[in-house]
Amino acid sequence: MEYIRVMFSTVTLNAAFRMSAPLILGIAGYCFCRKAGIMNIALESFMLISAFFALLGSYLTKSYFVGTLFGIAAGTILSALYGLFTFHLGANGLITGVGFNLSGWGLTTMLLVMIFNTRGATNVGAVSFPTLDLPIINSIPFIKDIFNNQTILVWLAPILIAIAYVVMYKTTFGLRIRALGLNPQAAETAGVSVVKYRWIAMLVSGACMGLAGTFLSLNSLAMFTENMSGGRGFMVMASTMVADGNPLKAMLYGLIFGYCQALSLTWSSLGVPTQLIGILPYFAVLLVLFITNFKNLKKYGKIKA
Amino acid sequence: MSEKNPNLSEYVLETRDICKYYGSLKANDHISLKVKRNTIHAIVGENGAGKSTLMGILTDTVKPDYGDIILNGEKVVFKNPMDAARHGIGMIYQEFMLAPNFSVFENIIVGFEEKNGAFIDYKKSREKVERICHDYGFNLPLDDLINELPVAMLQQIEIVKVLYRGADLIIMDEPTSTLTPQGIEGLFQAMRVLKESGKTILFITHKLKEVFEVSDEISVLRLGKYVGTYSPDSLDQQKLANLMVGREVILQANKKPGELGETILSVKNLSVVDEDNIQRLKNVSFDIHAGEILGIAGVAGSGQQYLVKTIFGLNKAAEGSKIEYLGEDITNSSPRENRAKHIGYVPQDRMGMGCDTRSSIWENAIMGYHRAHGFNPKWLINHKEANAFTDKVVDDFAVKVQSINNNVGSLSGGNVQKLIVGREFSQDNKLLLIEDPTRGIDVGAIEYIWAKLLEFASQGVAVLLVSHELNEVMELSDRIMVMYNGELYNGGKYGELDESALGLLMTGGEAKQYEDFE
Amino acid sequence: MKILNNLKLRFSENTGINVARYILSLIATLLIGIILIVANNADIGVAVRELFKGAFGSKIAIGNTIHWAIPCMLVGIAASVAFKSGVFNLGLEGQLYFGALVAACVGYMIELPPIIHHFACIFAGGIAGLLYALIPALMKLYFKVDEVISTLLMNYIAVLATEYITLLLIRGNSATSTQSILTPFIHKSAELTPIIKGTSATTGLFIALGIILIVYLLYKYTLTGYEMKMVGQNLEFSKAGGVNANKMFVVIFLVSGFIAGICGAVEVLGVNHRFIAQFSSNLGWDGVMITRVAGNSPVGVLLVSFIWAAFKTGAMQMERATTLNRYTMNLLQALFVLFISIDYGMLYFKYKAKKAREAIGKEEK
Repeated sequence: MEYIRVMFSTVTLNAAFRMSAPLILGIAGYCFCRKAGIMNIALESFMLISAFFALLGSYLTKSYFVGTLFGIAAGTILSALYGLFTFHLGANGLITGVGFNLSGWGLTTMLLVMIFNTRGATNVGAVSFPTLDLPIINSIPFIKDIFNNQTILVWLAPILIAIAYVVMYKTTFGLRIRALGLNPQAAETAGVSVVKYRWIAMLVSGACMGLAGTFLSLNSLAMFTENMSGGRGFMVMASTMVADGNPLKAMLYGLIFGYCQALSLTWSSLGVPTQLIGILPYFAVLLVLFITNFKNLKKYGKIKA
Repeated sequence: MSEKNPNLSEYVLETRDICKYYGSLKANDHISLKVKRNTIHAIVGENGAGKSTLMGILTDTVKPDYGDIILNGEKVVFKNPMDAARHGIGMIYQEFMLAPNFSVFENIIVGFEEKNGAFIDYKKSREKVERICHDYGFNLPLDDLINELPVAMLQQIEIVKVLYRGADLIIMDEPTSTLTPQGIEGLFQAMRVLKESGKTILFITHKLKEVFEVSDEISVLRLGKYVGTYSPDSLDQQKLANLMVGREVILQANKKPGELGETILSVKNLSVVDEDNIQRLKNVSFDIHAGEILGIAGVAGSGQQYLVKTIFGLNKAAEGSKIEYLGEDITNSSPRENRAKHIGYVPQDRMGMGCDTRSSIWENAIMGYHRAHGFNPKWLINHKEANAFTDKVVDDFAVKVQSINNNVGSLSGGNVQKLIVGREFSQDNKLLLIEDPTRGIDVGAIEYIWAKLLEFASQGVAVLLVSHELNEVMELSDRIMVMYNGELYNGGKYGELDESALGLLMTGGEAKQYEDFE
Repeated sequence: MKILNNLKLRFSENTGINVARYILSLIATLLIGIILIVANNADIGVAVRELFKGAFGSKIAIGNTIHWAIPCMLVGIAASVAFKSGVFNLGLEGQLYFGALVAACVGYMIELPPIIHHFACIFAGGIAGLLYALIPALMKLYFKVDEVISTLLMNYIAVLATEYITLLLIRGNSATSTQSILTPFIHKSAELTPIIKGTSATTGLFIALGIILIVYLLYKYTLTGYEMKMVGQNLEFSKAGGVNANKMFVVIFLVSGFIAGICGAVEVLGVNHRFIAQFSSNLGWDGVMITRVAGNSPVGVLLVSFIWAAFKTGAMQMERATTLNRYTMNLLQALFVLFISIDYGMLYFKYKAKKAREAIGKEEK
């Protein structure tokens, strides 16, 4: 019973709101890639490397704002490199993705040892985001326990989704991105430059992954540990894939996965082994993939005419 | 709307000496064409006559090597496809340029949205689309998704799209190829309305009946060259067919009529429906006998590919179809099973399906043979046997190779085709399905393959020969059938019909669907 | 005809492009390496010398290099089997973990005579990897779930699940830190014998070589191997030739998982002699990189694995002797893979085509 009570406790919901933020920040950008028909497993490295550089920026300047700029810049530059490799140099996206992810691990660990002389940097004197005390929310019981005292980054996540949604469905840019993913040839005949729009989507997703990375290292404790992105990049990918690039739907999946992560935190305090409960978010993603693709079973064995 | 501006020249479009070469192939060879304003101008020609290249040049998806385009009396040079659109040239492609899962409205406006800053001015765009629909009498479900609509509707959407983009000259590339008779009638109605509203239409087709039904002028292209422009009154279907297919016969196969044996393949009521629910084959029935070459002529895309692939097991046949091979039902059996029963297949797409350029010659030679006819023991590649088989193919079919360990990519097109044909001929097959065995290869190789084909047929092999070269079908086949729009028509026995009669069948002239005449 | 001419061209120049691919990638990586070394205030000569010394400088060094080459070879060949046929099994890491855990269990729970025990452990490990690969394979086949994303996620699940199972086995509690979550030692009868004393260079080397040989023979002499290769080369051609592509997909996925499982098992039997939670530091990913560099060929995998292993051991020595840390090597290896995956052929022909167009343009003027 205790487990079920905890599932709906404000502690869990508060953590879920917080922990889904990096996923949602990433989703807001990656939706455009998905719509434009780009698959990118290098997201994981975008997140990891920008997390490191956000920490570094904050460490060097003692300003979380500059740290954020560092994070966004890192994400954008990485996405530009990835775009260069896959759009112009003819490299296979998967192999490039694997290369990026391993480079990301190598680079951050190398720099971590070089600069901080440790494999897990905490308390190095970097400044993290302060929490926001919102008086309006503070007066409402229950709600305040979930939503108050979160950082601006956490709040930024749903805001970015709202912006992404408007851009996706109300602007010419969004219409063209969606059109070119569905039929690139048709888009070209309508004067939409496929390369140009794919580049924009790529860079936007890079910048958003930069923010997501910043969240990891600067949200509560300013810290960086080896491989701290822990598959979140892949979760961003999976959420967006399942939602087929619709920012609102993808956010919903992001919230589910974030909730599973939060639950694994709170349940572990009840004595459930962390390993078992740690599987939960990944398992949730697989399950969602399985359920949403279940309809494909009836297509099995049909030969394309 | 139909007001005439006296300042405009009589011709809306003129091309002067347009040339486009692909290597030694002259896709467009000094084409000079004039299109009168406010007419429906048909451009007819066989596959490879250069129609698509010319249209590509007009819409700037293909860059010409030489020549000028004169639009409304002024010479224009397009910078990009957009530029062509801005000059009022609208293209309706054979493959619809529509995004599935997108509404009709969105498909029409994308790229040319009425804007309000970065935002789409939905109201204004909508009004514009609705006005066009109203003016030209189209009744479109603007909010439905594309993939839920019938093909005839998609065609109308394409027309509204080019009108929305402000086209004055509308090019339609084979617009009737996917339409039902009713759909075609609707399209012609729409074309006439457009003409009355002052638009000019370039109508590309190879279907003669349609040409005479709607066009004001007819231009004929043949082998990349411009033949002439005619008024429909000055021609009849027969004359036009002659203009289109008339050609010199370079090669003769010296076919001798042979004895026919037992029935090898019997196809009954074969229908195929593709993923998009378009019926590609309609109740096709025929038999092939041992020692017989059955030639199937037809314009590309009439359904020939579906026929061959379905017999071989690469496509699924619709309910009610029956394919019998030596009295045994092989409907929907796999290629592997079919190969084991001695059915060979030479696909049309030589480099894509017929071989792998990055693998060695021997690896290519044993494909299909490796399981069906096989090695001993059954799971090992017996290199000695594989090499022997490859050597036999290479020797028997005079494939010029340095070493059978070289990649197939190092061979010339003719040699690749000899290798593929040789592979299928050397497996003591009883039935051969062959698509375009000589497309794009040199004359020497063509003669060689033709001779081999006749030789094998005379040994009692049944051959289904699908070719887009009418000459090839006529020279080689004991019996000819013509495929048009997914149906088969009787093309007579060897030498029975001449090429203009067959040309008429290929382009949908008067004919009844083929019924087995034995 | 133009296309055909190009194709012809392509193959006469193909070898040159391949050589250029490796040389250019090497130069680019070396340049970045030099920058990193200089940035660390280290001496280039010393760094290189220490790298070599660490990899080949002594009997122990060579032993260490062999020790690392064993898993590299195994996971590399597992990846090459999949990638050669166009199956994107990115779940090697997870399959390797399950292989290791199951092998450790068979190693310590059951008592068997030495050689039989080895085979039992390795076979069990292989089967575990195979079963773990079966899940994404079937999900792809029946439900069209992209194997890339499913295998990626299953890696994380595997790491945590094996850790949890270990915990259950040893009845520990979850508060135990990760490093101490480990199974009991396997019986001596299951341990692989070192071939160089004092190192973990064990007879596992022969297992790895044996599997590479088997895969080599599979491709060279069997029809299954022939079909596996051709499916990856040209799927449409293979289908027309009567290859059952669906069945092939599953078989390839399973073989790849089986070898990855064996890799985990050999790590347990040869090096740690027990299952240690989170023991593999991205070993599965090394496999993907190795097969990319090796161009998916078994012999290539053999060579590249030794180079990879030499870098791993050499980097440790370099770290001890200079201010550089060993992660620099990891970074350089991954960058090398990135440079290798650039399509130099395409760039070259694009450049040539551009030149040709310019030439035509001039002619017409």
